[in-house]
Amino acid sequence: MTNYGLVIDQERCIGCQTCAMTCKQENNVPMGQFWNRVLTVGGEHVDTPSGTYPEDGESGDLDMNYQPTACQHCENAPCVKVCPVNATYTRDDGIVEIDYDKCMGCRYCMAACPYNARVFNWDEPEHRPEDGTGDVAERPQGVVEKCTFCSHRVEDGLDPACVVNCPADARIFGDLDDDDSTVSKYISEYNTEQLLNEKGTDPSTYYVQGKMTPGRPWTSDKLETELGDDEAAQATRRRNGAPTSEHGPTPHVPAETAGGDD
Amino acid sequence: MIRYIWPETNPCESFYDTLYDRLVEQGTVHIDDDPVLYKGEFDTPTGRLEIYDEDAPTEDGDDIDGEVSLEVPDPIESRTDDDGDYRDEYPLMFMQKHSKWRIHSQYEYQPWVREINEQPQLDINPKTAKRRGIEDGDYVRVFNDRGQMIVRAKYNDAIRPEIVNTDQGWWERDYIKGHHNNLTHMDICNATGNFAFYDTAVEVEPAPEDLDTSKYTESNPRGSTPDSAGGE
Repeated sequence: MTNYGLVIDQERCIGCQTCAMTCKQENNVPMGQFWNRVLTVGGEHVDTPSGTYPEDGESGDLDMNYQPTACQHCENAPCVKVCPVNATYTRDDGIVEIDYDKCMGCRYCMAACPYNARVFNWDEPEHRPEDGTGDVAERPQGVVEKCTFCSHRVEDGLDPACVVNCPADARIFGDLDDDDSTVSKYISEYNTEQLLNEKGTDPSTYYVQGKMTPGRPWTSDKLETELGDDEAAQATRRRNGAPTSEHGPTPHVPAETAGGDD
Repeated sequence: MIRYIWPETNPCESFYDTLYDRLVEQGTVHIDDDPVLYKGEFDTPTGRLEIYDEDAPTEDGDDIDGEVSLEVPDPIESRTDDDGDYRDEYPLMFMQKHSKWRIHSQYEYQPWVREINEQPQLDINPKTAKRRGIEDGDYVRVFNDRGQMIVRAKYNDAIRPEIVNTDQGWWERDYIKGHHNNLTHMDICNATGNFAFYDTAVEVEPAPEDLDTSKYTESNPRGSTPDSAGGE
């Protein structure tokens, strides 16, 4: 079985908001909405610390961190449980997705989600540019929407947009059920935390804290779809952690994709 | 135009003529030239480029041999001011730092970025703000002899109490009133021989109450705020 998961290295994250922007572009997210947010842990505002500025020789206690937050794709997802019409469901590959035809806009899921990952289209969605962007159809007024792990990309063997476009290489995507996958290796090798672990939601998103990881491998300017078709060689590189492939970035999704089958 | 590509390394006239002819003929030209212009040692103790130097000249104007200090230096203009009270009148140093939201003034018009970075703000230490009766999020007037701007105060404990900052790259249309470059000057800094835009003295006060801030309170078609992005 495939069970997709994401590792985010908070020691690498520089708070640049590229993941928030590229998500908006890739997924045609309407104005006023974000599926992917970079929260500031520290002061009241974005990019401000807690503590006070050191004066007169004080050591100071300023402290600030970034918390990139989108749908955590929980294995025990409260949003799936509360949906009265089964619009929110967990796919066989672990991705939590919404059937927008079924969603009736009751927003129970938004109340149930402890990560504030979901947004509701109160009005007719507006886009900039007006015709929308990316490869995903616009969602209508009156439904809830959220991060899909870019399932449309994953089904084509591509990593999610936020993973590919993170300039700090802080995001690693892959199959949690495969012990040899890069995500699994990261989770076993580094200190990772799940957000609000005490809620029992068992998120498929893991945050690296403490020691910085080597980051997502990115060794070529080739697109993933332009990689050589030597699947065996690629699989070997993937098993080896694949950081130094001269043929380009290794897609972290398995060659055989498991699409939504609900 | 091609004649100005390498004016110092290749002063020979015929070289340019040949180059020009080849460019016209081929459309592109590969210049087989060593691009490293400077190969000698730098005038530093190590002979290398040194990023940090304890003995570097300070910004202290005439006192160019003075010691490096962590104190906020006197602004250039208080040093050149005739009666010497400019610093008392405008006690804060005003920076316009480069932000992650811009390359200079590019992307000001990017609506997605503007959802998170909505409007020009004044990074101000809470201590400095409270002394002036300024609450977090209030609109404030930043001014000196040259001009003013009206922006929203953003409490930021990461900024020194003697300094305020507004990110550079905002356009005039983004301000409630004025512009950050109404405050800056064109004096040259002794240490670098370049403009010293950060070396600007200002004072900050609460903005007039009858201010029209509707461009930021009513303009968003979604009725949403940058909160949706985790911003302020």
